[in-house]
Amino acid sequence: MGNKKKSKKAILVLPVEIIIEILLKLPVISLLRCKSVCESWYSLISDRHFIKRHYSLSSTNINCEHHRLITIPWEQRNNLNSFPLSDLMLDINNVLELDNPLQRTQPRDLSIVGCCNGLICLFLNNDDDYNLFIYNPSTRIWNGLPFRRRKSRRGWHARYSFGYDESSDDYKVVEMSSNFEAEFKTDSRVHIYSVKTGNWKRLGDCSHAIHSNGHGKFSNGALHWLTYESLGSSFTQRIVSLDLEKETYGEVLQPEYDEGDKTLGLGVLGERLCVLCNYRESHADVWVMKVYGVKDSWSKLVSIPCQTDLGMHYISMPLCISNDGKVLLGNWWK
Amino acid sequence: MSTSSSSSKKIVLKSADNETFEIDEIVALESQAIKNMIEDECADNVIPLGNIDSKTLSKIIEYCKKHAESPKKDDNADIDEKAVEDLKSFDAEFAKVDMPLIQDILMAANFLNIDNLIGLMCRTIADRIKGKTPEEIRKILNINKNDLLSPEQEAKAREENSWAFD
Repeated sequence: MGNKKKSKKAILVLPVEIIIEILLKLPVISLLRCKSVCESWYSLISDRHFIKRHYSLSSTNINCEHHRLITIPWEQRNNLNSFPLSDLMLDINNVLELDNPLQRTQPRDLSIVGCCNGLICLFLNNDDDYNLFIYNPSTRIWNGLPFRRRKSRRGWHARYSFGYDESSDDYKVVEMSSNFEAEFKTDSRVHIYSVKTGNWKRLGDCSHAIHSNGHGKFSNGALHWLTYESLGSSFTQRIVSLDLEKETYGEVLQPEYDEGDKTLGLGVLGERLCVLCNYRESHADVWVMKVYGVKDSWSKLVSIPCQTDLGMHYISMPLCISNDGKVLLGNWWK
Repeated sequence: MSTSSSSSKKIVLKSADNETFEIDEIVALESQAIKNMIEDECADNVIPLGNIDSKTLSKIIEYCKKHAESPKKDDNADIDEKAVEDLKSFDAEFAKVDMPLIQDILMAANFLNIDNLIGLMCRTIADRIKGKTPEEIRKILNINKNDLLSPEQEAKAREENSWAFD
C-alpha cells in the first residue's frame, strides 16, 4: 500500500498546485477529455473549488474569449444554438448546435429563463404541463427540476427566474404568478425552488404585479423585476428585488430619466443591473448601476438612435457592450 | 542601464553538479526566494541550489536576465508596447524545449518562486495537451502507470463526456 501512495503523483514529480495551474489554462472540452487521463486528474477536475476557479478565470477574460450567446431559433424551438461572443462582435456568424435531450423529440416550445455562473435555466411549455431544466452548455449536462403541480386559474400567469445564493452556494428558481386580468392591482404569489434541498416552498406574497413578459434579472445576489402600478389614468414602474439569501423583497431606486413618453426594460450587462429606457421612434438610453443599491451610481452608458427608416421603432436590450464601446443588439422582430 | 556595470553587486549560484554562475543581483531578484534570502542577509557568498542541475539553472538565468533587463510595465508608457512584444517573442522562443526540460524548469521555478516563469511553463504544457486524446496526453507527459483509471472507471468517464471525444 505504501508503494501505491508514492505512485499517486501524476506527471513525473510535479506538485499538485502546478498541475492545477496547468489544468486551469485548458478549455472545458479539453478538461472533459483530461478526466480520463488518470485517477488524480479525474478527482482534481471534478473538484468544486477547481470548477469555480476555472469558471471565474473564463468569465473574467478581458477579451470575452469564452463568452457565448445562446439562443433558441424560432424555426426549431427545441434547439440551442451557441455563438462565440467575440465572433459576433466582429460580425462573424459561427454557430454551434448544442446537444440536448429534447433535440430529437417532437418540436416543443423551449425558452430561456435566465443564466447565472455559466448555467442556463430553461422552461419547456407543454399543453397543460411544464418542465424546468438547468443546463450547463460547457459540459452539456442537463438536469430536470421536479414538477410542481399548480392550480390553473383564469387570468393567472407564472413567470420563472433563475439566480444564485452565494451564502449557501445554492441555485434557486423563483416562480411568480400574477393575475393579468386584474389590471395590475393584485399581489404576486411566489414559490422558490432550491437546487440543494430539491424542494419548492412558498414565500410571502409580493405586493406588486410583475410585468407579463419579464423573467427576473439576476444581479448582486438578488432577482429583479419591473412592476406596473396604476396611477389613475397612467402607470408608474418600479424595480422590485428579491434577495435570494434572506428571501426578502426590496426596491431598487431608478435613475432620473429624461422627460417624455418612454418604455422601460430591465437587464444585466456584465454582472450589473441595467435599465433600457426607450423614447419611441427617437432613441434609447442604457443606464447601468455601477454600485449596487446606490441611486447616484446609475450612469448613462450609451444612447442609441432609432433608425426608423429601417423599420426600427424601438431598441432592444443590448446583449453586450465591449470595452471599446461596440453595442451588440438582437433584432428579435425580424 | 546600470545592471551591466562592473560596480553592480554580484550573486553566485551553485548548481547540483557544482557549477557556479555569477550573476548581477538585479537578475537574481527575479526569484522571490533569492530576494527573500538577500533581504534576510543570508546570501553572502554562494547560494547552493542542490536540487537544480546546471543545464536547468542556465536556462533559468537566461530567462531572469531577459526579464530583469526589459523595462517593467508602466515605467514608461511609450516603450511599453514594443518591449512587451519583444518579451513575448523571447518567451515563445524560450519555451521551445522538450518536455523533460520543461518539467525541470517548472520544478526549479517553483522552488525559486519565479511567478512569470511558472506561468509560462504551465501555459506551454497546457498548449501541448490541448485537443489531444487521453492516450496522447499520457504519452506526452509520461503519466505514472499506477495512477491510471480502471477500465470500468475510464469507460464511465468517457461515457459521461462522450461529446467531447467526437
